[in-house]
Amino acid sequence: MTLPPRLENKFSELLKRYPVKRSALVPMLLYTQDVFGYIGDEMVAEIARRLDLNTLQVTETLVYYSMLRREPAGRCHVQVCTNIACKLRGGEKLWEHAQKRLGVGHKQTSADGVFSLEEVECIGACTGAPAVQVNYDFHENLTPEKLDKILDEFQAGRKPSPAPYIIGSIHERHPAEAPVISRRFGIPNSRKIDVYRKHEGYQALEKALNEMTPESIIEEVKKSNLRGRGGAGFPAGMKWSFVPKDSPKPKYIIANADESEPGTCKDRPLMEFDPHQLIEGMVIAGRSVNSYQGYIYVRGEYRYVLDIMDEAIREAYEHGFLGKNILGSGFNFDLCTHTGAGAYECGEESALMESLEGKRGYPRIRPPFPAVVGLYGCPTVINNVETLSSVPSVILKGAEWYANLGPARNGGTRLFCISGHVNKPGIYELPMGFNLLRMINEVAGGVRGGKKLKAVVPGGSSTPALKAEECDIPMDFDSLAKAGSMLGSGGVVVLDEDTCMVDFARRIMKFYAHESCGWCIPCREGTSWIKKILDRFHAGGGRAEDIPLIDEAAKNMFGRTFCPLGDAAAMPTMAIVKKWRHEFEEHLNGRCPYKPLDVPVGV
Amino acid sequence: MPEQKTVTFTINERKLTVPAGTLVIEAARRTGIEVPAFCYYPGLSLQAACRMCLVEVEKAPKLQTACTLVAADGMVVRTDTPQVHKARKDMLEFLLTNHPLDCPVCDKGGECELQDMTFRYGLDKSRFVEEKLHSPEQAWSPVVYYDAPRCILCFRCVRVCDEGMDVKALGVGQRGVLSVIIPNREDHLECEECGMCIDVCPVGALTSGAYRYKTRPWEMKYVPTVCAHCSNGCKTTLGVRNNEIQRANNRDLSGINKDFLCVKGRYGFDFVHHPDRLKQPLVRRNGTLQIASWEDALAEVAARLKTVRDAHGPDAIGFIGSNRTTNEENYLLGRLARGLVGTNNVDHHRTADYGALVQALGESAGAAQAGMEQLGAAKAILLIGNDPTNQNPLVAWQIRTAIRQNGARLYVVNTEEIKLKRKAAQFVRVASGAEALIAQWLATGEGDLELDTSVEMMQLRGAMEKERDAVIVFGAELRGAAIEHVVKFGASLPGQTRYIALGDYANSRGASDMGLLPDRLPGYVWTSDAAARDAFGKLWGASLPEKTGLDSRQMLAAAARGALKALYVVGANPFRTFGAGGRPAGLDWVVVQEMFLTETSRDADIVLPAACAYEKDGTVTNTAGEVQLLRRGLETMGTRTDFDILRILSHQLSKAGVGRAIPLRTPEAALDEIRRSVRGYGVSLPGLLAGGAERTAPLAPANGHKLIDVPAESIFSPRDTLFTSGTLGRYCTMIHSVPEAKSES
Amino acid sequence: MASILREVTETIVTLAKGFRVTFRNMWGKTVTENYPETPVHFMPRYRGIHVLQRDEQGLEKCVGCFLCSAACPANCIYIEAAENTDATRISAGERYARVYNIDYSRCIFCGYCVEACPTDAITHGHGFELATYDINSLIYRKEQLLQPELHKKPATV
Repeated sequence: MTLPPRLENKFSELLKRYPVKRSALVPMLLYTQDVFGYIGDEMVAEIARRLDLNTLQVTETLVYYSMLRREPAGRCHVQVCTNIACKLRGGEKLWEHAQKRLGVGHKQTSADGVFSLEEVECIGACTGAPAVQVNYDFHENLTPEKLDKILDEFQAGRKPSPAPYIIGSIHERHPAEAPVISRRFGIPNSRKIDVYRKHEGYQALEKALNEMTPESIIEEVKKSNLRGRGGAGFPAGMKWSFVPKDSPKPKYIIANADESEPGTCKDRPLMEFDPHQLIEGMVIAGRSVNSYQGYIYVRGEYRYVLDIMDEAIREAYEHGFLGKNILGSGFNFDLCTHTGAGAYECGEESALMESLEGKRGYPRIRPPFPAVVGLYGCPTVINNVETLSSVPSVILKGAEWYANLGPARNGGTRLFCISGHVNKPGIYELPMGFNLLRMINEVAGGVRGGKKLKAVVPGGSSTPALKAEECDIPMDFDSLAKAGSMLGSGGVVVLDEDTCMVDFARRIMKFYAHESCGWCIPCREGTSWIKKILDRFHAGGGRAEDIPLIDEAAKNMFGRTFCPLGDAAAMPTMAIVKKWRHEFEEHLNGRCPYKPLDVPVGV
Repeated sequence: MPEQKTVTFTINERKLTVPAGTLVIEAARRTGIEVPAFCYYPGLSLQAACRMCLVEVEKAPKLQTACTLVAADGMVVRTDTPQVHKARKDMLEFLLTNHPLDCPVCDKGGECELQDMTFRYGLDKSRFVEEKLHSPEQAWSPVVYYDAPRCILCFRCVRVCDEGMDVKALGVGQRGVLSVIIPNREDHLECEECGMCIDVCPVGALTSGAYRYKTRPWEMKYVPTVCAHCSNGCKTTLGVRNNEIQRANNRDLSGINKDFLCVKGRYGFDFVHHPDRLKQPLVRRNGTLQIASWEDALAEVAARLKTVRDAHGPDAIGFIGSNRTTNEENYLLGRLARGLVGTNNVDHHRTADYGALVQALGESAGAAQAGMEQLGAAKAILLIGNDPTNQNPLVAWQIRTAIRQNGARLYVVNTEEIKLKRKAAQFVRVASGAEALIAQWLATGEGDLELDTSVEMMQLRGAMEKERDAVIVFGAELRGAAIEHVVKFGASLPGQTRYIALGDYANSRGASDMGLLPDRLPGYVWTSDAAARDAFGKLWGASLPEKTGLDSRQMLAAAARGALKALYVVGANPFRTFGAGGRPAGLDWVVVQEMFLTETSRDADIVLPAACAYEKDGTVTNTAGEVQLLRRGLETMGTRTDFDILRILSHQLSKAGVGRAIPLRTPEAALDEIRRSVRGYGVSLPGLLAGGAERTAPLAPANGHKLIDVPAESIFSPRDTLFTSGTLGRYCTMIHSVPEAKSES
Repeated sequence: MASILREVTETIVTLAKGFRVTFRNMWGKTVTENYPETPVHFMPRYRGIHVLQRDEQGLEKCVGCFLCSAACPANCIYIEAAENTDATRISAGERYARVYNIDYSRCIFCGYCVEACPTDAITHGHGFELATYDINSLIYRKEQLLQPELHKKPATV
C-alpha cells in the first residue's frame, strides 16, 4: 500500500527509534489518524504488516486509547474539558453551549462534517480553565462568547491562533516564589538552545560528565532530598541506585510526561519553555546509571509540546549534548520522544512502559520493579518531567543548597498549579513546605469574588480534599500525609462555598470510571458503580443507604486494586463522604441545594 | 540432578516446605487450603487481575495476591482471617454488579466458578440498584458463543489462545468497565476452533455451540474415555444423557492432555448419532445388501470362510484390521487369522513405522520412548517431517508447553513452512521426500544434500550436539532404515535421547503392537521366530503359519489376480485407502465390520454393524506407546462391538471345524492375556483403571532381520487436518460446520 | 373417701367436656364435603397437580433450567431443553423445555420443585383426580400440565 510521503517518512523515522518494532505502533496509529482523520481497516492491516503483528494486536491496542478513532470525525474536532478545574470555572456550561451551538452531542459529527464534538477529561490547561482543544490547539480562559468566535473562524475555514502559551505559567512573580526550574519562564525564546546556554544551560551536564562519577551523581541527588514529583514522592536518588550496575542488559531512562492528573499542568510549561532543562536532566540521569537511551513519553494531547521537544532534541544533537561522546567524555546518550494517545492509566510507570512497547496500557505486576525489569525487560529509570528537570539545578548548585530550599526530607521547590475559585490561577514555583493558606490567599490572590473557602484539593484529583479549617498546613509530602492527604502532583484546586461537593465527587469519579483500564475487578467495577450511584444521587434520586454504600464501595476498592488508580479514585471519595456527609444528606430531598432553587433537578 | 532449594513458610499456622520459587497459591492448594481465584490458571502467565486470591501476609501493609506472591523463608500467610473473607466478599460484589443473574438459562450454571464462589463467599443480597450493562450474545463461530455481560475479564481465554495455542485469535476491546473480549475477525473467529477458551472460561461468557441449551451439567453421566480421532490419545470426558452424547471436553484436566483438547476431541463425537449409522447386519442377496439377523449373518460368514479355506487354502483369505479398534480387538483379529484360519495375510493401514523404531531401539526401548509428559518437559526437541499442529494436535501442544515452560529449543526439519516454525529455534526447509536423506546425513555425515540445506543442517547438528536429553519426533516420512539412522544420531547426542514416531488414528500404534502385520506377531516378534511362534501357538491352541503374509496392497493386488478369494475387513476402508479403484474383480467374497456404508462396505457381501470407540470398553495405545482405557459411554441398539463379533465368529468357525474357539469372553480377559503374552505390555492394571496412561516398552529382537528402506506406499500418513479424520471424519457434522473445515474427507 | 369423691367428680367433668364437643358438632354446621356430588374446597396453598404457568405475553415461563428436576426427591420430573429462535419463541429466556414430563406414580407432592423454580413457572394447582387403571397414563406431558393459552395478549413490540 502506498502512503502519502509525509506519513511514509514519519513511519520510517518512527521505526528507527525503537529496538522493538512494535513500540512504534501507537505513534503510527496517531499519525495515521492525523492524515486520514481516522484509522480504517486498511491502515490497520497495513500497520500490522509493517510491524509483523496480526491485525487483532493492532485493533486491541487501537481501541484502548481514547484519542484513536475507527470512524471519521469532523475536520475540526472540538474537545471540551469538563474535568474538575474546568468545571469549577464553567466548563460544563461551555460544554452545554458547544452542544447547542453545533447541534451535536458527545462523539458526534455535524452534518456538514466540519465539526465533531467530544467531552474530554483533563487536557492539562487547568490554570487556563475553562479550556477547549480543537484538534491539537489549545484555547484557554474561554467563555461561551469567546468559544463562539473561535468556532465562527473555523466555520469560515480559517484557523484561529491558539493560546500562545499555557495560560497561568507566565505571570508576575510573586515575592514568595523561589524560581529554580521555572527561572527561565518568560525569557524570550527560552526554548532555544542558545538562550538556554546563556542562562546556565548545560553547565550541570558538563560538571556531571567531567567532574563527577556516576556514583557521586546518585549520591548528590540522594543528598538533595529530591523526591519524585509525579505524585508518590519516592526519593529520586534512591530509585536510581536500585538499577543493577552489573546488568549486561541496556538500561533506559524514561521521562514521564503523560501528565493527566486533573488539576495538574506543570510538565506542559516545563517542556514548552525549557525543553533543554529536561534533556540535560535526562542525560545526567543517564550518566548516573550508565544508560545510553532515553525516551520522553508525552501525552498525545500535547502535540505542540512534542514538536517543541523534538526540535530541542534536534538542537541538542547538533550541539553535541546528545549522541556519541557527549562533551568529549566518551559518554553516549540517545534521546527521543514518544507520543501517547489518550490514557490516564499510562501515567502509571509500568503501564507507561507497556504503552511504550506498543501494547494496551495495562500496569504490570510488581515486583519486579522497573529499576530491575522495566522497558523491554531491561533496567529502567522512570521519573516525572519535573523531577528530571530539577536535576540540573541540583548538580549545578549542589545538593545542600537544593535541600535547604525546603523542609527536612523534602528538598527543593515545587511547581504548584493553583486553579479553581481563586483570583489569580497560575503555576507558581514555591519552596516545599509553603503554607497552603498563604498560597491561596497571598500568592493566588484569594478566593474569587470574596467568597469563603470551602475545600482545597492539595495535589491533583486523586488526593483527598482538605476542609477550609485544615488548610493551614505546610505543603510538603510528610505534613500532608499526616493530615490524611497527599502532596501528589502539585495540582492545587480551590473550591469556594458555593460548590456542591456531591457534584464534585461525581465528576472526579466520572473521570476515574472513564480512565480505569479494566484490568482488575475492584477498580473496573468499583469506579463505574460509584459513578452510577453518584450520578443518581446528585440528580436527586439518592437514598439514605446510598451514603454509606458509596463510602463502603470506595473502601472496598482501596488498597486492593492492581495499581494505584483504584486508590486514587477511592481516596477523594472517602474523604468527601467523611468530611461533607451533611451535603449528601441535604440531597436526599430530591434536589441539589447548590443550584438555584428554580431549577429542579433529577427525576 | 542438583539439589533443589526449598523454602519454609507458614500458612494458616501450618509450616510448609516447598521448592524455592513456588507461588503461595500453588503451595496452599497443594496443602488443601482453598485460595479462590479467577484469573490465575496454572501454566499461563500471571495476571493478578481478579483480586480474589488476596491473602494476609504478616508485615505487609495491605493484602497481597497469592497468585503472584512467591513463598519466601519465614513468610507468615493467613487465608482465613475476617479481613481476607471480607475482601473476597467485596470482590464478588463488584463482579456481580454487571454480571447478569441469568443462571437458570446459562449453560455454565451448575459448574460456574463465579456461582460456586458466590455461594461460598458472596453476599446473599445485591446492593447494586443501577442499570446493568447489556449487549447481545454473539456467535463467533458455530461452536463458540460469547456473551459479553457475563464476562468477568479474567483474560484466561486470551492467554490460552495466545500462550497455549499460539493462535492469538482473542484480544481485549475497549477499556475500563466497557472492556470486552474481541475475536480476530470483526465479529467472528478465524482460528483452530479448539474450544480451549470455552473450557478455561470460569463463567458462562464463552459457551459451546455444540452443547448449547441442551441440558445441564448435573443431568449428565460423565464417562472419561479416549478420543476416537488422532493418534495422540487425549482423554475426553463424554457427557451422556439419555444414551446420547451431549458434549465432550476435558474440564477435569485429567489424562495425558491435561488442559488440552482439540476441535475433534471436543466436537467430533456426533458421528455416533449420525443417521447413516448402520444398525443391522446387511447381507448381499440378489445383488443388493439386505437386512439380516445377527445369527444368520454370522453363520454365513463362518460358513463362507470355511468354504474358501477348504477350497483354496488359508492363504486365499486376507484380513485387514483397523487403526481405530481397541488393542483387544486387534489381538483377537490376529488370533483369528493366524490361529483359526491359519494365514499371515494380516495387515492394517500403517501410518508410522513403529516396528522399525522398536527394533532400532532394541533393548533400550523402555527408556528411549518418550511419553507425552516427557515431551512436555523436554529441553530440546527435533521434529522431522509431519505437521503436528494439524495431524497431532497434542504433540504440538506439548511442544509449545515445553517451549513456554522450560524454555525448550525446537528444531524443525520439514518440507513445508508448518505453523510450529514460529516457535522454532531453527527451521530447515528441505526438498519433498528428502527426510530419509537428512536422517542418513545426520547419522553418518554422508548423503547428497543441497548446498543450502547442508549448511543449515550443519548448524542444526551443531546446536543439537549441545543439547542434553533431547526428544526426537518424526512422522511417516521416516521409515525402516531411516529410523535406524535417526536413532544412531540420537545415540550420539549427550544424555538420554528419546523418540516419538507420529502416526495417525486412535490406535495405529496398538494395531502394530498387536501384530496386525504380515510378518510380525504381537509384540513385534517375527513370524520366522520359531520359539515365539510356538509360544503363541501354545497359548492359542494352534500351530501358526511361518511364511510372511501379504500386506494390504499385495492382498488387493492378489485379489485382482484372483489369487486371494476372500477379504475380511474390520473398521477400515481399503478400497479407498489403497486406491484400488473399488472392489478388485477377482475377489469372491468380502466381509466388513463397519459403522457406515463406506467405499468398502458398500461393495461388500456381508456388512456387520460395529459399535464405535465411545460404545466399548478396552484399551488403546497412543502414538507415543501409552496405553489408556476406553470406557463405554452409551450403546447404539443393533450394533455389536468388534470384540464380540470376532469372539462369536470364532465360536461359529470352531463349530464349523475351523480351529479352536477363542475362550476370551470380555475385553478384560483379553487384556489380561495381552499383558501376559505380548512383550512390553505388562502394564500396571491399577494405573490403567485409575485413568492413567501406562507406557509400553516392546522389545523387538532383530532376529536376523535388517531394517531396509520401506517404500512410501507401504507406510504413509493420510495427512489429516484439524478438521478431517479419515472416513470417520465425514460423519462429524459439527466439525464440518466450522468455516475452517475444508470439504475434505 | 375423699379420693373416691374426687374421682367421681373428675369423671363427670371429663364426660361433660367430651360430650360438649359432641353435642356442639351435632347441631353445628356440617364440614364434611360431599365429593363427588359437590365440588371440593381447598386451602389456597393446597399442593395438587402441577400447573406450568405462562407470562403476560402468553409465553411459557419455564426456561428449562432443570432445577425442579434436580430438587425433586422422587426423581419424577423429566425435561429436554431446546433453544428458542426468533422464528419460534416458546419462552422469554434463551431456552425452553421441549419436553416436560412429571411421573405422578412417583410424585410425592412435596412442593420442592415449586420452591426451586427461579421463574415461578411450575406451581401446584388444585387438581387431584389422578386415579387410573393404567400406570403409563400417570406420566403427564407438558401439554397436560401447561396453563391453557387463555390469557394470551397480542405481543407488543
